[in-house]
Amino acid sequence: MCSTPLINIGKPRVKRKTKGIEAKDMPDRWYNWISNKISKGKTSSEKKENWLNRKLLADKKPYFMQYIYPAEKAKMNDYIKKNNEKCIMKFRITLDELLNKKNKTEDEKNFIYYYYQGIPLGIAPCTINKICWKIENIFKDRKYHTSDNFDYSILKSNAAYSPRLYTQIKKIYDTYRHDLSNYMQYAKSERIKSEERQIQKFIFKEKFKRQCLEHCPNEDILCNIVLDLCYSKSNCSKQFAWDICGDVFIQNLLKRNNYLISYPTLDENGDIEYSGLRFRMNTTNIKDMVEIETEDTQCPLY
Amino acid sequence: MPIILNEVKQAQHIIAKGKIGNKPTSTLFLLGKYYRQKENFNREVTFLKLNDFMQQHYKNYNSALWEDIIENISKKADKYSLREIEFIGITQNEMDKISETENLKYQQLLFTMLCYAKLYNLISENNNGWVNTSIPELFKIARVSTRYKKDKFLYLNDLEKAGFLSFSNKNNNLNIQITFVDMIGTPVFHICDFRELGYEYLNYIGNGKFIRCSECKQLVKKTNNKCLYCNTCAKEIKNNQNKKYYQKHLGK
Repeated sequence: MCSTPLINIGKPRVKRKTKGIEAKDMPDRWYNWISNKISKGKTSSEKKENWLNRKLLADKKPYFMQYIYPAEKAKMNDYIKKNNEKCIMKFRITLDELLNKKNKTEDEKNFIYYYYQGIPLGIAPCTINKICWKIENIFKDRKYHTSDNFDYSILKSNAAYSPRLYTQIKKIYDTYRHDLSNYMQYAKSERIKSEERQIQKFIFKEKFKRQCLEHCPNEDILCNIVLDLCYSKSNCSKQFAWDICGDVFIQNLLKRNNYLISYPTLDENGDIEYSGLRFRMNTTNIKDMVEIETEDTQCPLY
Repeated sequence: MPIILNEVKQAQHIIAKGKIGNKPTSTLFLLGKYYRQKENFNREVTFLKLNDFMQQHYKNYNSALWEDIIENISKKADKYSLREIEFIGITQNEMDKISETENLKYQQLLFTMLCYAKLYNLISENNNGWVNTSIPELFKIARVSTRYKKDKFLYLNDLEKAGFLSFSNKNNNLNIQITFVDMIGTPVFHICDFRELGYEYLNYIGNGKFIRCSECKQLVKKTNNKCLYCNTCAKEIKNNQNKKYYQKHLGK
């Protein structure tokens, strides 16, 4: 029911405190099926009211809200996936094929009926939902290709490292991944809030960085080792490499490009059009603005 | 963690060998249940015991990081009953029913699902032959591989049409019910290990050569005459041998 105020859809999420006044909880008869059980009504007018409430119930967020709340999107995707698999198990065709099938059997019709009944989001044809479906339709056949052929050597420094040092850092990295994985399992089971998880992840990362710098104080060498650890295998997180040595990567990229950076500026006669405005690419040298640190990479310690 | 039939034995084995495994939290939970329900320790003593165990056997153990987890386990460990099942017995009727289908992959699948169904029937009286396990895990334990992901569900459709199993009525519920479970008959085949049910079935019908790993007793396909261990145990033994060699010859 998309005409319902957006903040009031589904279960209450936030207790609003405006100017010291604590907002009352939304009555559960507004969003809960069970509270509006017809048999709960003692008189016929109560039963009629419960029946009416069930027709007006705001128990689901509208379809387009999956793009605002990641949890809703995950719920929706999981629901569709399970229905698709069940459809293949029962009818040997995918859910899309079943929905587009012309002469459906009684079983198939029932399956589709209960599929729509159980959808976790509201699919009423309100304006925003229709816009959402139109956009989905345009992009449905386009696939996002991840380029696995990224040459990460452009991020590297001119510093060699010994296999012994690589092994030492790899051990610390493996311990870090192991500890993080255990913590995430614990956080999931204990339903720890995302802010606390982020803080703990940050603590793990700082601990790892400190341990690495104890073994390898040279940031350029550490940068190369971390790049080889994270980018050589596609299933490792690249975000980790950027968190540890991101500033070194930027320095290396600047060095490779002679400290020249390109950026768009607003220009009426520009050749790039975006969001109704015209832009032009400018290039500038930022060597003077950047503090260059040189390190002795010939140090025999490594 | 794979299904363990006799959790008491497993817990005693873990305590004796000090093996935490790949999932320390699951191991701790098992030990927690053992201490609380078998040894009848209270919450505080269980906490201390688990802490000591980790101290002795977990590399780089930081008690501050694990305190909350261990406390939670000590608190909840008596709510979930400790399983002490010696074996799952498969009757001749069930084996005959499985062999009605000629496809060997289907037989392995049916056997695996039957074992799971019987286990859950033993755990709960009201189970009625339901297999409450995810489909990818069933296929993995049954050692049945498919070329495409969709084929798994087509296999299940074939088995349903043949009357071996039925599905839940709910659209988003993928649980399977086995229709030929026989809890009364005399078992002809005992299953004590749920790690390789596909291989257990093949071994029973004499299809292929198998051995039991000398370390962990897992059923393993025999690839040569010298095969004594499963892959995991072989790697661990090899690592230990290498360590001893380097310690002896390189003096580290």
